[in-house]
Amino acid sequence: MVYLRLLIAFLQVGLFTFGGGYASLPLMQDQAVGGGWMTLPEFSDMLAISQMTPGPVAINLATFVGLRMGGVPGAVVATVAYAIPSFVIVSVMAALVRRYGELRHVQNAIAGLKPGVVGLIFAAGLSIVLSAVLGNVFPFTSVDWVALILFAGAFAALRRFKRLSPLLVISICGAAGGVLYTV
Amino acid sequence: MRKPKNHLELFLACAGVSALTLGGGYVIVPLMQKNFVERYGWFSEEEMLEIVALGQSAPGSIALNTANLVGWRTLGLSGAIAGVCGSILPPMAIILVVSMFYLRFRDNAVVAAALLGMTAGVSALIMDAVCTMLYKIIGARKILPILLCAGAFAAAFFFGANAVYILVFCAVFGVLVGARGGEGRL
Repeated sequence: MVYLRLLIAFLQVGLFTFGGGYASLPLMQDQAVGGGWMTLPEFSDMLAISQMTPGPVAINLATFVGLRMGGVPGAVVATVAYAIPSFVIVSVMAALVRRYGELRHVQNAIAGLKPGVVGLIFAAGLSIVLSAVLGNVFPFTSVDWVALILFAGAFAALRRFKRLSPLLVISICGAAGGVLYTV
Repeated sequence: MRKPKNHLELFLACAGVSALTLGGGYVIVPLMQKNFVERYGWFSEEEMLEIVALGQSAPGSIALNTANLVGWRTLGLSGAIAGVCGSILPPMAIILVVSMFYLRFRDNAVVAAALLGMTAGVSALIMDAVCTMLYKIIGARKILPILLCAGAFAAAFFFGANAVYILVFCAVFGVLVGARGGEGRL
């Protein structure tokens, strides 16, 4: 029964994905390719598209694999199964923090986490900027001027106008990219 | 701090953020910061950072976990369900559409060009949020948070350390410093 197999596989993936959606990719590959559902090139195609399209990459990939295995119901089963473990765990965490959030140790742990998270976001952001603008190939000889100009323009606009809509910024950059890269 | 008017507003807000996540879970943070803190005013910057830190520490996608916690804080359990559903639906719908012609989609030059442009815009959003958060930490002029932040950055960026270990270290560090220092919390 394909839905049951999807359910069990993606519950596992959701439970053992630690450190953000990207950590789920090798787990999904294990299930999909290792389980004989599809070949590695097929999986790689799905992964590439999941990374290109908007949305959390793990959700995209779960939908894709589920769709392939069991049509639209399969896509729903795989995606919901992936989301269930973290939903339960985070809900318990939220309830615990609400109940015990005033405790000194909890406050101290959160105080330690905050600057750490900023450091992690900085590191991830810088990697994305470097790969967008410089192609991420050391020693960075190939500067992508279009990406650099779009990045600098968008960054300046965002710093200047605090209430600028992210949707507007990304749409303009997308349209500009579509024009500038293809002419 | 105001709250979302109803579950629909929360659902749509999370759907909007999720539909714009391009290039990994961390992208969600600046978008949420921008929307939930600066535009809607549901949280203070401090609270948002706390939510992101907790969302990071649980298994699963950061985007889903953050939406879950945003829902919990504002409207309780039903809010959490609304937030998570909002985060799941747009990407699912997009994949269902794209999968019908996915090879043509992947090889289309204009699509690829537009996505490159969008990625540049997303990079700017992340760095904008990072600047705001860094100013805040540096502006507080306390040495330990600055060191933790710099250490986490270096460990992740230069040494590719797993985010889970970095976060566990930060939490334990916070507890130990707080336990020793009494008043001198981080």
